[in-house]
Amino acid sequence: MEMILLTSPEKCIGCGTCELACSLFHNGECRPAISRVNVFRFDKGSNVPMMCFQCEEAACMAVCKTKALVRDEETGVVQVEEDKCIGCRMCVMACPFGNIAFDRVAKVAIKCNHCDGEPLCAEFCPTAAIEYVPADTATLNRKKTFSAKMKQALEEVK
Amino acid sequence: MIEITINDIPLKVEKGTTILHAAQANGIDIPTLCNHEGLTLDGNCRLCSVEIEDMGNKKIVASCMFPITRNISVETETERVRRARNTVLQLLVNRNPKAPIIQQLCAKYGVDREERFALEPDLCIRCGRCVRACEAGGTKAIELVGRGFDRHVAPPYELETDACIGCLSCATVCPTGKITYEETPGKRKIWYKEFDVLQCKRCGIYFATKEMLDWAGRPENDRDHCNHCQKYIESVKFLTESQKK
Amino acid sequence: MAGWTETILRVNLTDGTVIKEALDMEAAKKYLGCRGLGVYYYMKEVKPGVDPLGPENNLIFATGVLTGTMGSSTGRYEVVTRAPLNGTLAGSNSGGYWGPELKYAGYDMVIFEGQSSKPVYLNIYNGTTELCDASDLWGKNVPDTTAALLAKHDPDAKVACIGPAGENKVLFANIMNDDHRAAGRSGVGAVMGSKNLKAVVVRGTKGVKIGDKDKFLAAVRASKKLLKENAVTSGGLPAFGTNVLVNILNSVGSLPTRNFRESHFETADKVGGESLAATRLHKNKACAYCSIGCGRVAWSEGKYAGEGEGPEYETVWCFGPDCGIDNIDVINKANFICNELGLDTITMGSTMAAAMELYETGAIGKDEVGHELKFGSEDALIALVEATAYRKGFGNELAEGSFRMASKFGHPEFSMTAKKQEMPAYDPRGIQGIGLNYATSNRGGCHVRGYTISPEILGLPEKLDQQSIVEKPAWVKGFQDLTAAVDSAGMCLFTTFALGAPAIAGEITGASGIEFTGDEVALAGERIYNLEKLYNLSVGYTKADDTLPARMFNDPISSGPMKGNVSRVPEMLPHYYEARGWDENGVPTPERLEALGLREFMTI
Repeated sequence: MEMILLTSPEKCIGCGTCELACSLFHNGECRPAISRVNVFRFDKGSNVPMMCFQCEEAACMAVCKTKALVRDEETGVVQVEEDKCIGCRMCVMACPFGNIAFDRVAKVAIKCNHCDGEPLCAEFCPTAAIEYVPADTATLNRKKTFSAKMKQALEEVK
Repeated sequence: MIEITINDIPLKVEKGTTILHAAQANGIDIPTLCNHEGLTLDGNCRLCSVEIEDMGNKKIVASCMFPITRNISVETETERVRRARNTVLQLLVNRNPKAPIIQQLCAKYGVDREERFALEPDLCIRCGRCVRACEAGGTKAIELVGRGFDRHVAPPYELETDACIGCLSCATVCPTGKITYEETPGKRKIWYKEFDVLQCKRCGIYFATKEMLDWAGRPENDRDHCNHCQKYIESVKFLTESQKK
Repeated sequence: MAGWTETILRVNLTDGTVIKEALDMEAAKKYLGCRGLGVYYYMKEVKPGVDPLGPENNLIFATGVLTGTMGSSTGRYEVVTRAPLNGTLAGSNSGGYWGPELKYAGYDMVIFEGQSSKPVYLNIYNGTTELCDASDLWGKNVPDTTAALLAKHDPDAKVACIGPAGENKVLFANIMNDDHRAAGRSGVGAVMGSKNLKAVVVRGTKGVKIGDKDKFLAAVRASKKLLKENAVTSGGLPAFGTNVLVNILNSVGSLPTRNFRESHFETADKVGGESLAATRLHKNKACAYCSIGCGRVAWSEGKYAGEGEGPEYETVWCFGPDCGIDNIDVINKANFICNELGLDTITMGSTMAAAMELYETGAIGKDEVGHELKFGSEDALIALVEATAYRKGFGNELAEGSFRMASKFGHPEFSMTAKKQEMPAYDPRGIQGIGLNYATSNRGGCHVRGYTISPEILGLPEKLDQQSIVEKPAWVKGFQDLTAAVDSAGMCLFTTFALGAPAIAGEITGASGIEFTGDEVALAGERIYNLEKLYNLSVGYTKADDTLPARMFNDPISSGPMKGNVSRVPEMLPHYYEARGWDENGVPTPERLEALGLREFMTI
């Protein structure tokens, strides 16, 4: 079954453990600057964890000319096939949410890939502000509420 | 599925798989330089040569270009393969003695440099990965020009070109480090062209050329931030939106 | 090597030079980081007894092997310097996000030497460092300083700075980082002020290497499970913060009230964590990489309206029960002012309580104070906290701490201090172990140097009778040593409600790639504790200073469940020395020092 990473910002306490879990899994070091998930901290204890939505119409995939970005049809996750990436960074330019980055050392685009099916950000989140859950109707609706808010926010800027 | 052998190991592969892919998928090492999984096949470096026996005929082929369509047996370390590979490396190391990747390959396969031709040392091995990367991106700003020893990569007429967007993919895919660029705060120089690099309005980092954003179709009114700060901006919008409710 | 970055920054403020040095890795393995490594470097480099506010005193910001890793609650760093409040070696530990950021910039420690002739701040961006002019920041409070620096530099940078209290060398000024977290005690902010150093801005985009990823993840998983299953770390602290303790301590008759004249506060529940959560709490907040999230984001209302983080239990106690105040808005406001101006709340509140007692007994009057200052005087408290940071009027007396102030007005006995530092919110007459810890703590009155409240009140890891004394010396020693190790590793002390030495050793092993056992970690803690003790001996502290205020021995608790009890520290002290392998005068024996690997610090 398709799984999704569901975020609940109201539960987030801003500890940032997800950032280290992410960089440790993907890069073998504790380094928030290269994490695919980021937590932003605001006044009054508001925190927002941000990560790739695995968009249905993914701008990053659409712009990639070497098919280095492909969707795993089974999981719905958009992955970087690193040996196909030529480092043109068009995906970085295209993502409207800033959820894809370029690693200048490894010379490849980097993005969330659900840690190949066992996302450590969700595992180590102490408050379940990030959950890895089946994409059933209920969770999809919750995710849609979040996406709708994001979309609305995006529309306002345009 | 087609049954083949590589170095006497029996394998089953999908029809059309190249020998190189079949070998790589099974952990059998074949060196290559010009091959890049994201780019069109070119087969110009010949380093991936292997010997095959096809219907009783033995021949040397470039493994990256050879699709498997029927039962064949492949050998990656025969005397003929070694000779072919070493000749290629000998030629490369003569022209490119300082390229790290060439030095590594020569060390690995026991090839010593014999100066047979008095050539200007170079880093470019004319593999064309940069040209193919530029083509793949659709920009087509550089090409291989000239013949023989003069063959080299350049933009048309060796002048700056509107086609180049300064994305650096040519430099990224270059196996030897030949393609370089200059980067100073706010400026990037490559292929005779100087680009302005936009500065992130939040963190101040220089993150992209305007030409890259144009090429990717980024909306004009949404170009102020690097990807990290874009993420921050989205989180602010989300917060504002959720607080409205 | 993983875990540590292996590089330190040395900043000479006198001549303005900043140099990078290799970290002494042999020392790093022995002292882990933060508190331990800071103390080691301090003692190697600074002769005993220098003027805390003079140029010879070094000011060290140190992180630990686990700081900035995915270990348990690893957002910590420690400020080590000679304390202006009492001349001990201050190790003031703070959370937030600043410590990890220093590691991501590539440094384990920053050592400040000398004294700048004009206000400066240090800006660190990965490998780049510069000392910048801070003239326009001088005089600004903590949030304004932080905001100005973040506007000028990378918005994702982290700022540690002093407020006006540090600039004015208030003897208990703190260093604040990330706006709300404090390296709180002993006056480290005054040292920073004396050096004309306003702030340290740091931004790092590198990573902390992990020695053995699989081992590390396994250790962290095991720790997180223990933290999750523990009622304090997954229940009480996240829900109510440290302030959950007000009602608990009151119910066991050990909530010091009105400058320790009583130990039971009638209206404690009005100011407890439950009330705070119900009426004044936005949300809880975590420091970096912490699963507990005990931080409070709160507000105050009415004429004391304000916003900020905290209050912690000890803050609520000192401005509340200890000053006879049960108004949560006053307490929150006093806490917010302390954070904004850079004052240690515990010493501030306790000094205020001593002033109230001086006032009520007639030793000082309205002429000196400028306010009526009885127990419960809310307006005076708020006004005087602010005046203290600026050393205005009677604030100039309060700025010296309760020991100097009470002595000046003829009543040193009103100062509720151990080694001139104010004792926090647990009555040593009601809880015997914590009293022994206060008396023997290397930095004077302090609960977080050996938090025996955990077994004595909370029953973790097992319940001890709060009045028994037989087993306490060993427990105090054990807690002091483990705390020294935890502080030094870069973990938060609160993890120890759930984690013991083996769990901590597992995390250090995974992160550093060097095998540590639980026993080795505990031994490192004991080594660090003994090293601090050697410093105290070198500056003249003796057995006679391992004691508590006379009130703790002479005035039994007057009401509540612990009525009639006094502290029994004198009975416990010889057994404590014995448990430590110290002689009858509390001096570490050569044999013990040898066994702890402290030969280089031995005097024969």
